[in-house]
Amino acid sequence: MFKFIVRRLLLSVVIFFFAMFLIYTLIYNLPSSYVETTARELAAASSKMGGKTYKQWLDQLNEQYGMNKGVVRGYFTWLGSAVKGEFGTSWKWNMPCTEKFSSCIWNSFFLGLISFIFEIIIAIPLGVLAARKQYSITDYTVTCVSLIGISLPTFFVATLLKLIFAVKLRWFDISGMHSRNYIAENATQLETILDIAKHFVLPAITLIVISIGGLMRYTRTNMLEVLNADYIRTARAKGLPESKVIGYHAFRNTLIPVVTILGGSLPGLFSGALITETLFAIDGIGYASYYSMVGGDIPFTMFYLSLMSVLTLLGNLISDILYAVVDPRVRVN
Amino acid sequence: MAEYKQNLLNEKLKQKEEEEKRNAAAHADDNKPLALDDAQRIKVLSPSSLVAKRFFKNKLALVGLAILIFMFAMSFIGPLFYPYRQTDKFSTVNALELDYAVCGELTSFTKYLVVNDDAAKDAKLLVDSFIKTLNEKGENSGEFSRGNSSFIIEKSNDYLYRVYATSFVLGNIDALTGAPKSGEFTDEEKDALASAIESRQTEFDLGSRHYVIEKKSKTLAVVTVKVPAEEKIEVILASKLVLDAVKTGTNISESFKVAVLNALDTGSAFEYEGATYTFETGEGDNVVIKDASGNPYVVLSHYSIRHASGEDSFDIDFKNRVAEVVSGMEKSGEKFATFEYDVPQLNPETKKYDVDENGNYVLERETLSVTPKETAGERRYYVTYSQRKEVIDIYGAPSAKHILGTDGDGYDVFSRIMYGGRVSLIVGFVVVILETILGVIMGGIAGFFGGWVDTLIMRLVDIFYCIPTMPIMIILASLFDQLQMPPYNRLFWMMVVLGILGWSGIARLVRGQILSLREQEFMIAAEATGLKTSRRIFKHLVPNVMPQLIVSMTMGLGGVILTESALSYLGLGVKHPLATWGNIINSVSTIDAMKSYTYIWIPVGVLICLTVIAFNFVGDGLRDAFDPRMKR
Repeated sequence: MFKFIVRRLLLSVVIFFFAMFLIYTLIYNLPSSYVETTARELAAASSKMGGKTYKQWLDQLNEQYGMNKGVVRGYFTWLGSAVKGEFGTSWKWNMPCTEKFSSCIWNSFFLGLISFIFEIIIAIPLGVLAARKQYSITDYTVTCVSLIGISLPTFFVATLLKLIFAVKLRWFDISGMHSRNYIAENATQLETILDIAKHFVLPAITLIVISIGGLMRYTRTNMLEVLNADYIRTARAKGLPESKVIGYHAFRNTLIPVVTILGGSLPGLFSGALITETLFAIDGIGYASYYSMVGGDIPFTMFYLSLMSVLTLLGNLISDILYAVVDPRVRVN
Repeated sequence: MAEYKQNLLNEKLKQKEEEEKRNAAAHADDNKPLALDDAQRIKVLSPSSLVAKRFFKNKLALVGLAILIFMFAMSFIGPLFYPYRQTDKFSTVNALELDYAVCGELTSFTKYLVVNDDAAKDAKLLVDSFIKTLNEKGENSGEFSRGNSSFIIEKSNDYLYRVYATSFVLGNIDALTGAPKSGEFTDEEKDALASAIESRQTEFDLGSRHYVIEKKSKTLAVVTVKVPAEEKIEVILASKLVLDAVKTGTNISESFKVAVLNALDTGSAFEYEGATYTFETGEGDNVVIKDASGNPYVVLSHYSIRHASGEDSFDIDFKNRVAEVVSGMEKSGEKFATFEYDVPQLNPETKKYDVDENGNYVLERETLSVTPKETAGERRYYVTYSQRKEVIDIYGAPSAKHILGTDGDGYDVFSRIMYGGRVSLIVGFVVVILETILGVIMGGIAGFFGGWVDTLIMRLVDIFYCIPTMPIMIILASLFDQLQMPPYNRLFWMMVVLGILGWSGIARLVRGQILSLREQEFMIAAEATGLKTSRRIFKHLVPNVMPQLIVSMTMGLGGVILTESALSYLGLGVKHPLATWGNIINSVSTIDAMKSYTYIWIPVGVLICLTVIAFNFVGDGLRDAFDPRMKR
């Protein structure tokens, strides 16, 4: 088992190396006019506040990102500093990338976590229910709803929710993290948390609506497979009550692939929700990186892309390991 | 001959077959029970018709198929029958209270040259500053000099100043001979100059005038003349009065204007070039100058009345009317006045100004309002009326002409939805086909060869799997923005990049299937017949992967359409003026637009959802139809 994990880990490192090389090459090959124009604009914008000059920005970029060297040497320069956790100063946010990351990651994480928990609570029981009553109206409804959920564009859900709950009913604010009358100095910690929580409702609903369908379908398919297995027939033949057959024999076996998938998506909680956070102006990692990418902030973009790669690989690794843990046959290979 | 016989034989055979058929049909009525193994009991279906049969039994899949057929018909056939295109701008006629004419006293003096010589031209440039100084001092006349020239300026009244020259440069002469080099000299002056040079005099008198010769260089001298104060030479008339010809477009010469202004001071009739003109005080403070036959020729007024565009295009009648109203307002101190007049108006149907057979505008009677506006100490009167103007029909509400109204650019929303569907569907298809081609080739090679080729390709798949699509697209989009790439190039590159980033899933699927298929007997048979490798992969293995491929392509189509619409919604995908469903919603994404123009974005959003749902329904139905075991 240990050997298996080590092998997978090493493989992930190799994949990360090459994936980042591809991304670095892309960034490296951005027309220099683009990089310089962006740097110049930034310098012009920040010079009023005593920020860095155009030259300082470019020098910093060259130093940390090896943009003035060949692709391969430049890549190793970047990798060298990235491994040490130095991603340079973000052009857009005017602070070290890692500092910006730590300042906004928890918003993303909690938003993700809330929707993740609700997703599990809603999707798994419904998936199981649909499988138990295959071809019933319940089943068709669940199938339809999950397909619709998969098909909904995030921005459309978000805009609809805003229109209904923020504009028409005025229950929530349209976007942002704090209410209009919120003053940080006067608020107690509980008030702050409640205020933020209120602003998380709409984004969380958006995330739940668009991600619930996939899990629902996955649960249903796996439950169906398990329900057709011989040991379920045996359990029924033994005369076990149906609740025990479903709850004890079938559900536990259904959980194996479901847990694998869910485990694999845990690192995704740290990657933020790019579009949802941007649309609702939630100051999370997705929001920060969206504006960095649109504004041509190379340091933060590289940081975000490496983060995404690491998280994807970590997710794969976790689901592989979980799969190996629950299914010993996998370990043999 | 042989051919003929052959044909005959064929005919015979056909006849026989038909007879047999007829017999069989007759016997079918016999109600004879069929045996279990009777061939007629078993209806043999080809695999594809089996799939089709299963597919058409699935209600959800049928709904999806119907939606898709509708979408395709709407996007690809609909525009052919719809009168508008995606970039047709629509305009509407709105009544706007716009400036028609501007009326005000002249702020600067118009300078009329009485004599056309250098002295007058010099003075013309200086008159304004002279008048200013005079006004500051509060005097009625004054003497000014500039360089060698000196002038006397006299105020006749508030509207007229006369400028006289008392000393001015006559011209340049040769310092050695006294011959004139520039300027106009009379013969007497020339003689006097020559003799003065000879006797080395620098000053001399001729008549009442005093001449000064000033040597500038060895060969050049400047002659200045001084005129006694009694013998004033009038050079400039500076006036704030405006002379308007009665007949629009008549060119009035400067000398005539000078004659009018001179005569106005004396207040009687005057003669100009043999004709006699008379004065008459008209409406308001106007003075009408009539020619010999008594027809009005020129109107002299305090007001300059110009079209709002600055052109002097009004006829005298309108000018008189405005002048009358304005002088009335000035006297009473009112801030608002109205009058009625015939003015041009846009024809709301043709959206053009109607013109009669003489080329004149067809006029309509409108109420014109006059309001004063004071800017920088100048008071001007603006004549406005409610003018019908052609304006772009922005955010027009749904109507019979535009089913879903118009958007912020005056485009018809429904036509943009149809063209947008075209782009969205085309993007979906191109990207999916691209990633399928890449995925099948890579996955096919990996699965078939196995070993290190497999390892290499699968690691490549892992690498591409790990590159996030959305961020890369956003970076590229902001790059395209910076490069100001044309919309079609942008669309092309977007499809290419999405295809390249998306093949890894299909490669995995193909490889997995091929790994299990290649161990089967039919592949051993294919190998035994000595088929080429490429043929074995693409003719024998890939067709067996087809069911899964078709399913994943159908599902993928929905995904690509979602990605594209999200990008376009963020303003990073397909760009204006090309329409896609995403950027139609983007055009009304601000909070205010979102609230007010729900009839634009909700139908489009529903269309996106429906299309993606339909692709998913059809994909789901196809999966069940291809592989009934999955359904159980």
